[in-house]
Amino acid sequence: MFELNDDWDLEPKSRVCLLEDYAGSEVRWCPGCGDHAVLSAVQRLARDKQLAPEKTVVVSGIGCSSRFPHYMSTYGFHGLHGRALPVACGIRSRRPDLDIFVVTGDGDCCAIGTAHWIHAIRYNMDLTILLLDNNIYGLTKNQTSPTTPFGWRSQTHPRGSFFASLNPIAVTLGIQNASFVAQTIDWCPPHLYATIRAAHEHKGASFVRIFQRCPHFTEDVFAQAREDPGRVLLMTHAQGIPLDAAVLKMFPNRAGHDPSNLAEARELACREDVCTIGLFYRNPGGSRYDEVTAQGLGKTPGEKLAAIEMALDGFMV
Amino acid sequence: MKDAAIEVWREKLRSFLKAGVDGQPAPPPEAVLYPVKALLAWGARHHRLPADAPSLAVFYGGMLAAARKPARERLLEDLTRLSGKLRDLLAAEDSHSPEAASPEAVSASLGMEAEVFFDAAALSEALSHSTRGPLRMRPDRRRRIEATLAALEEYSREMRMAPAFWLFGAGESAAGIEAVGGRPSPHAGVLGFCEGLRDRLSGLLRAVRTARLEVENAFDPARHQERLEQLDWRSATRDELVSLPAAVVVETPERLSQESVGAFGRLLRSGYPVQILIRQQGEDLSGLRPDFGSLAVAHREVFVLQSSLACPDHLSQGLARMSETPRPAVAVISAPAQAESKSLAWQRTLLLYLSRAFPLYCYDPDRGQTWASRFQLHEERPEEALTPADAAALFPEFRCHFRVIPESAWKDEQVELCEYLAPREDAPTPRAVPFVWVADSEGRPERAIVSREMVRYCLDRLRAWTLLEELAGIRNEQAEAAVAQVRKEIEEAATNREQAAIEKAKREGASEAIRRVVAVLTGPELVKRPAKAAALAGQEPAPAPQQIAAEPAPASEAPYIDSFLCTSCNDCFKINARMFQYDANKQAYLADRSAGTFAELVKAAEVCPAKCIHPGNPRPADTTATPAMLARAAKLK
Repeated sequence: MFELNDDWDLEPKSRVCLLEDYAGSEVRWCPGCGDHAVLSAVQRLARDKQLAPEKTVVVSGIGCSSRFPHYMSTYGFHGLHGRALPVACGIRSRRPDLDIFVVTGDGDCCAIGTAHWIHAIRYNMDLTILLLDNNIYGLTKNQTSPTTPFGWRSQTHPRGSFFASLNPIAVTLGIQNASFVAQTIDWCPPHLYATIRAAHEHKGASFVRIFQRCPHFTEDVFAQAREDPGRVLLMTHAQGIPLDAAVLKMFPNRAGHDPSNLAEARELACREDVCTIGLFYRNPGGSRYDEVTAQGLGKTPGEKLAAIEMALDGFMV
Repeated sequence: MKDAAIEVWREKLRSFLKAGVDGQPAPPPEAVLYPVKALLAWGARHHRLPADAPSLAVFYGGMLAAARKPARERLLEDLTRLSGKLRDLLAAEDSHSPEAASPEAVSASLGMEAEVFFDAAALSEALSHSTRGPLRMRPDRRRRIEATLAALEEYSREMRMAPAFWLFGAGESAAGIEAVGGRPSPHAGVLGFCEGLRDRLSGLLRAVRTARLEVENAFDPARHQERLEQLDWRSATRDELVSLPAAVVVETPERLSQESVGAFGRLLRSGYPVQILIRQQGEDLSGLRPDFGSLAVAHREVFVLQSSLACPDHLSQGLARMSETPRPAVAVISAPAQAESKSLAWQRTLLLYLSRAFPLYCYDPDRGQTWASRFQLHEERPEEALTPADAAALFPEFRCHFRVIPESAWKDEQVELCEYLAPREDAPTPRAVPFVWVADSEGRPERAIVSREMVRYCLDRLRAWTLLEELAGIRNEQAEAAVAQVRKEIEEAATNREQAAIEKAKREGASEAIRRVVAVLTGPELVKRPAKAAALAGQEPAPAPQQIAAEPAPASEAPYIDSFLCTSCNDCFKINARMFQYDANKQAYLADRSAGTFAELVKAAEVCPAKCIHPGNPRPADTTATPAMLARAAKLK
């Protein structure tokens, strides 16, 4: 009688989601765009982890990459420019049961949304933050973004960009309480997938910068690294991103890096001679703001009312 | 918290029982009544408890209430949580109704002060024009949620009102406790009552399962409706079963055997977690009284405790285990008669179990699958060999089975009863007369000859004990036979090995002797040990297996795609959506080579950002394989 669970078919979870179950509306990114690789990696991750579509949220701001929520058959929030992170923090603060992905671009995150980016990293709420960095404003057709390389010609700077480009990894590593900082490339799907998976498994704000080609405007920015794997430096470590031997073989230029070593991570992040990919830094012990904000969630309406009454009673004269 | 409460109860029970055994005056009623008051506070309000005779049933009820309280609280919490979630669902649905967009509702949700800043009527107007509201709940789902919510609230209310346990009993056995059923035979009353509770439990389970599915938004009428209708109390988890108020029945063997043996069996077979306490006083020589412990054990899946008030540790441990089982449970408890002189009654009870007339054991089906794991026999060997007759001698009603003889009549053919009963190969001599030692009023030992009935009674008790011993694994004949068999096999194998070793040593010794003799005669270099010596002498080693040079794999002629590197960028799709397709991982593979040309393959390979398309060589009839195209393909290699 007690050994048998004879009403197993009454248990709520008994379904399997396929890749199609995570595919939303028709994808309208340009052919050849690196965003496709990120989208299919996230869909594969959702399928492999069997994330319930109704318990998954993709939050984005504005930009090419921010069309992401439309292409996922989950809940989504295609929000205000630069405000993806505050919206995601708001969701996370009262919904610890959801899986939340934040998809943002170099303009959305590193220009108009910079203040939110810094504080979201500091709050360290459990979010998977994907920065799809194509080094250009692509949606508005070729304007300089904060990460556009120095001297790169665009419509706003026909004679070349005047500024040294912003390094999002170096910035993030400089923020207190950063807990997961990684970098990957869209043209190596196995590494991209493994990095996003590790980021999703990390409890806290996981920041992943993805070098993502724009086939129209910044194809050449990444051409060298793409054509010559020797220009990519792969960081490896037992605590880093787990990779198959076949993937390791693709990158002859490798360096062992302990992801708990913040000083070394900062040095590696600032190297300009190579394109460094892998896990820069991980701190599983960082304090998480969502653990505080989600307190008292299990209370019944009656208990909530009683708590409010008690708090109000404190003001009685 | 649970353990602490049980420990307090156990300690109180132990001290109460020990006080009785040692012939100490019972503790004052106020001290004993303390747990009874606590019990009342837990909700056993329906019973009028006697102030002067705190009975075992009440003590056990206290243990039961303490052991099951945590599970009950958990279930109540779960009911409250589910009700809250269902209410939230209904509230969310109500907020989408047209009424929720009325000016009054908008004004109420804005609050009083907001009227200054907002125009509720205009907002209501705007809201009512919205055509893209969320999907409304289907009417059947709403009805189901409302019905489930009502059921959950009713069960929750009912559980809070219910006592910690229901007590069934009548007359002296219940020690003056009022019967809940109010029927002369408690079992008939309990059976009906349990059937009622069972139906309520099925309803509760149905409501809880439906609520869980609804809260998870996973209720599928096609899949779940029929299964829910079939759901009955057997689907309850252990926690759910023990969280319901238990039915405790207090019985005497006399009434059980006369009136309700059938009902007793039905109750145990029903599987409902009813708890039956059988308080057994004295002994029955006639053999007419069934052995209720064995009867209950024969039901296999019933918890059975046979214990004695004279062995308080065994009793309290057994009752503590019984209070935690969600199965039907029976405790047969040997107790002194209440009306008699206290110390004599306790001595009889003590002797009954020391003489093995009343064996103590516990049978717990939750402990495992085998007798060894389920059945524990409590064995205590007194210094003197006691027989059931020694215990029976203390009962006035059995006095007629003993005849004290004067010392002048003591003869050699008289044998002490324990010797007489001892198992032997040959039958006892016909002339032997069994006796037991008794003491006269001045403490002098005297022989009392026992009657034929008493000897039969003793034999019956001892045979019963032997069977129980075998079940408990003590002196198990089959196990002993198996051990003997294995031992014999091991010894035989050892002997064979020894023999073989001796033979081998002899053979080797002889050949070694011959070798040495030959060596002395012919010189050492001519005679070599067969294998080891050859290696030492540096003979040519066996030729290593010839290494076959690995031939380079022929260059692949056919086109292929490294699918795991594909970035799903749709570039190749744009060129030919029939030749290139996506696999289950949404990564491209060459679906149909014949659906496209060599030129398309080369173009796709050129634009592929992951460089995972390899065009290979063209097919013979492919006209697009111009020298220029071949040159472009060669660059890709």
